[in-house]
Amino acid sequence: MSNESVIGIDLGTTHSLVAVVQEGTPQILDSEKEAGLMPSVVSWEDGQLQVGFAARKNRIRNPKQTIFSVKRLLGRSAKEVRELILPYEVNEEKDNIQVKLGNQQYSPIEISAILLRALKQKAQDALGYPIHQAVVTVPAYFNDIQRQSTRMAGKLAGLDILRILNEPTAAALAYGLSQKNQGMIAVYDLGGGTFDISILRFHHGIFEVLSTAGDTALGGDDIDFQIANQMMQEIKNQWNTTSLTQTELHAQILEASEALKKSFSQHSEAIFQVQFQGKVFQKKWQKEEFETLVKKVLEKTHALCIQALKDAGLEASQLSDVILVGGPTRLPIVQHVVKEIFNRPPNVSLHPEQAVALGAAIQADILSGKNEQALLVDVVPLTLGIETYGGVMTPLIPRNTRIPFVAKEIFTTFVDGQTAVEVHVLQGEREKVECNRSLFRFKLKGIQPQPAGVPRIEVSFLIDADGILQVYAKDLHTQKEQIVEINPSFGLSEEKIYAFIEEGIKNQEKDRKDHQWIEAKNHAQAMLLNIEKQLTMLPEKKMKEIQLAIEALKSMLSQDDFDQLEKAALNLKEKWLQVAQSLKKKN
Amino acid sequence: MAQVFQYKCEFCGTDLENHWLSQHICQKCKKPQHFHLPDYFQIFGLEVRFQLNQDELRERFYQLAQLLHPDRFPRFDAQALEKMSFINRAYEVLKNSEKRRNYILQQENLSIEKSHLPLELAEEWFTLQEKIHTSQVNAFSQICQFENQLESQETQLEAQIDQLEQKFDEMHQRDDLVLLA
Repeated sequence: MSNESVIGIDLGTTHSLVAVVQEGTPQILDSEKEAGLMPSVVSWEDGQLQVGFAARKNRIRNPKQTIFSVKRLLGRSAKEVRELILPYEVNEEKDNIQVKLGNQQYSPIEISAILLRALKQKAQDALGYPIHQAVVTVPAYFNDIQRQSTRMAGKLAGLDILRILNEPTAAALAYGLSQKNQGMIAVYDLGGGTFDISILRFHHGIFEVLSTAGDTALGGDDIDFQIANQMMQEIKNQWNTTSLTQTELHAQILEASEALKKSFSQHSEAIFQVQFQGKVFQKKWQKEEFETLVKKVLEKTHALCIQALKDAGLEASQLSDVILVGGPTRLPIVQHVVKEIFNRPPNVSLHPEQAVALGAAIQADILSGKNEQALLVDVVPLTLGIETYGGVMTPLIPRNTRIPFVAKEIFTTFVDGQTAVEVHVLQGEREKVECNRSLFRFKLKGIQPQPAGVPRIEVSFLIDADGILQVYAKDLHTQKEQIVEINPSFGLSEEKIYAFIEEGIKNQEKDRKDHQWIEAKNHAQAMLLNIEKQLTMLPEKKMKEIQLAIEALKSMLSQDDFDQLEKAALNLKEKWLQVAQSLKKKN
Repeated sequence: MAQVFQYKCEFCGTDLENHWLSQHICQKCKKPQHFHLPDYFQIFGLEVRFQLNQDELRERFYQLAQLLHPDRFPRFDAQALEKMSFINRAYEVLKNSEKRRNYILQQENLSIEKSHLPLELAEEWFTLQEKIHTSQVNAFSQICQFENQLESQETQLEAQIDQLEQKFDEMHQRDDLVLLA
């Protein structure tokens, strides 16, 4: 089936894109409604869910009901997001985050699913056939929970996620395919909300990731936030108020900060301006002031780049290229910072916003078996370990290990007759348990009661090619195997998941019907055009008969009834054939 | 001496070619095969050596990845996943001279004694600490001196190990290792 394509999706913090490989070339998919970048924004207006550009327009008009940057919330605990200043309502339920939209609470996964569903629709509109499978990209530095959350969002959106792909790796794929060269490169990927640095080796179609480092809470948005914070302070001083909690003003300041940042990619000075309740605040920014602020935000990326080089066992001079990915890398000051880190001017030939989606499409093509030359060999970004005695994390799989990978560990009991052992799985680089991200705890159950230390349970920690962990356990005495249910719930109940998918299916049904209707309509219009052209050639009596059928069909075009339209079209077709046949006989 | 083997595909019974890469996957039905000899060197079709040509090792790793990476199996293949996980582990070990050395010794059932800090070195370290404590002025230069010494010792040691490894490799036979135990 050549008609069944696998799409590549770049689910970004601020923008998302969808791409597909057609006849060997990756292409960004556009639909009539939304060209290119789709803002990763969902809003609720007049009882309707809006996605993309339509939703983005509401950011100032309706800030409380407009959810953006949801990727920053994905897979995070309530504690981690408390410091983010967001105009919309973020609630905590146990340790899970929920955002309020309309009068409903949504988890970040559900919001991501709404975005994915819109992207899927966009691809279907552009391609004209249904899509079921996708490759979705994530920041390389996403942990297990964030990856699982993304996969879950895909499932909710009715997509079979063939691969969770690292963004810088995807970009390298897009770069490598156009360059065809060998050697080592660095990918500096500064997105809206995340930063990744990856070092790769290219060799005859193989893209081997040597190391990766990053920060999932550092991106172009942070430049906006810094500007906004500073401006907020100055507005407070100038307007002499201490309580500037109005959400609309807040949203305006953020919007103006972003605009300020963007104008610095072309100009050397820019004006920050907000208007609120008849008052105007204005400030002229000089390039130097802006650049100092950006440099401060990007300071952290320097150390991360050095770490990635060290982990790859390389010096910056051994790299043959440094490529830039992500919208914020358009800023000259960002390019300057990268130049200082690697001691060479970066390569700006890649389209910074499209590279990741194009790479995802290439990986989708590889996974469909259509591209047998290219192959990605990726790594796990964070060390995986378990809690051992004394609150210490014992590493099982070190960071930058090539995946897939399996580590086996034997567990036993501490007390006579103990029948269950609890294992706490962690991800991170620190020694103390509480300094790392707790992934989950699971219990090895059904151990036969024996003296302490006698039972031997072999647990396999498998990291698959998505960088996602699976756990298997085997009792070495009985050889009994079991899959350990990790089952992260993400605060989604079974009913909620079911309801969401159900809604998606309903939409799909509607989409299918819409599609059928459009097809039937196009078909009918083509037939009408064809017949009307030849109408004058007919004898008057026959012409009248046909004209009646034409009018009947035309009246159906404006109504939304598929069956009636089909019926009228069939009627006209039959009549036309009859006439045509009778004319043939006469001749 | 490379092992001579003749295996049949465990799924379709076709004779597998007598080539190191062919032991991993059936040419006919394209199914990954179980490891017949789960030895890290054997996987790469290499003889057991303390010193390996890194370029050749990498080249062989890439050849294996092209064949067995899960991405090459549109339908999930558990055996491919398991094999690639194992190959990644083997590559990690063979790539690193210390891990590779330990692996060879372990395969020969030679226990690797955890290295202890040499007594003289420890003594030197304590004296240095005392000196630093009493006179902070030239502490920095003393630390540098100590580090330089350490480094030159390490280089010497590495050169010795290097020579030993070369000798072992020249002797070819793994049995020789046992004699040295």
